Amino acid sequence: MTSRISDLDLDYLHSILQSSGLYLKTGPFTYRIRSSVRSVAEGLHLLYGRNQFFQEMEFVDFDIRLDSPSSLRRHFRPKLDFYFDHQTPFKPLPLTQAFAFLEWGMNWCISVHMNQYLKLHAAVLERNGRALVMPAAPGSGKSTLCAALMLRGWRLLSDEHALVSLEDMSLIPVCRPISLKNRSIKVIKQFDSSAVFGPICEDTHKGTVVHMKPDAQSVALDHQPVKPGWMVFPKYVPEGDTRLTERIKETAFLKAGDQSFNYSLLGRRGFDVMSNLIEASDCYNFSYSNLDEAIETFEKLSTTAV
Amino acid sequence: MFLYIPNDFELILKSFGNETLLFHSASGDTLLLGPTAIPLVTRLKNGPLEQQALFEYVADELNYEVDEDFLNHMEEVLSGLMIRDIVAAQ
Repeated sequence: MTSRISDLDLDYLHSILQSSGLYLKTGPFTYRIRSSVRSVAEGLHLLYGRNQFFQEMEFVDFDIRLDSPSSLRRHFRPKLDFYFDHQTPFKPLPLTQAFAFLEWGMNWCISVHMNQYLKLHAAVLERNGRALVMPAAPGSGKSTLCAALMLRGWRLLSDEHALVSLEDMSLIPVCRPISLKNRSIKVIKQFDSSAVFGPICEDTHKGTVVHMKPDAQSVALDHQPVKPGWMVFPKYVPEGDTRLTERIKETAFLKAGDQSFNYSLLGRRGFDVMSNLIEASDCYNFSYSNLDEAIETFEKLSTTAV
Repeated sequence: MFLYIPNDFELILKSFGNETLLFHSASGDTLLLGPTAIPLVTRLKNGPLEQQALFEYVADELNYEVDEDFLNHMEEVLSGLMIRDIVAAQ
């Protein structure tokens, strides 16, 4: 019988992270994670608790480590380095931001590698067998909306990456915690008190950041791709009305391209896959300020034929 | 001045029924073509043409009058396409 990460004793998980490392499979990717930082163990234990526990695997996509650069650093203004294959692609960050640093590093691994997919900076959820893709720039309210939809039963594929198969345009899940920032943390806590949050990281370059645990069904179905259904460009407008308006596909194409990590890199292939993705999706602009109204709008949308 | 589309890259036109996108394989750029650029590019994909004849072709396709405003507009459109290496002159 396979065990879940939450089945492990926290001290035991911490000791594994300090030695051989935890092998974490999420979607099509496997990370080997090592760290001596206790809050990393706590965050993984809580937020990835539903993921399967592996103590070794034959193949690893990303070998990462989060630790202090030197022994002196551990005591004097402690900072951490993110190691990827023994390289340090980022400047060190304070120990208090450890779990957020791990999550950002894990995102970076996918964003700059893995070009076997067309990758968009987008939240992806599923309802009635179809994917809702929400490409958006930071600050647009994408993650808040994504968290609220998941809390109302939509299956989470990703809060950060839409991975589009180059073969059949299906959306590949890579279900990980949802990153919430600043005001949206309180908004989601008020929206649903059952939401589970990891360590709070304050004073980061993004402000206060916290990660929210994905629900059981989303983690359980983390291997099942979904056909495209809707592409929605969300925008949070303070005190604004809830408004879903159809968007012409040609400008949706360009906007999605702007939010892609590798559209240009893929050349003609990227153009063809994006064309097919847009062709298969109904495209909309969506502005909102009230989450309950937003959920109602998306529930109605999910019943429309694509 | 003869205008042409260099044949060392691919130009793909794509429409979902509203406007037209152009994919330029050499740069990887994707552009939204304006209404006058579409017949211009489409015509040059069939072979080179002298500038005046090309502008008259576009006007004819769109039922526009070839007046000074139109010619000024077309020169701007052409210039934009030439800057992006989509159209060349000889």
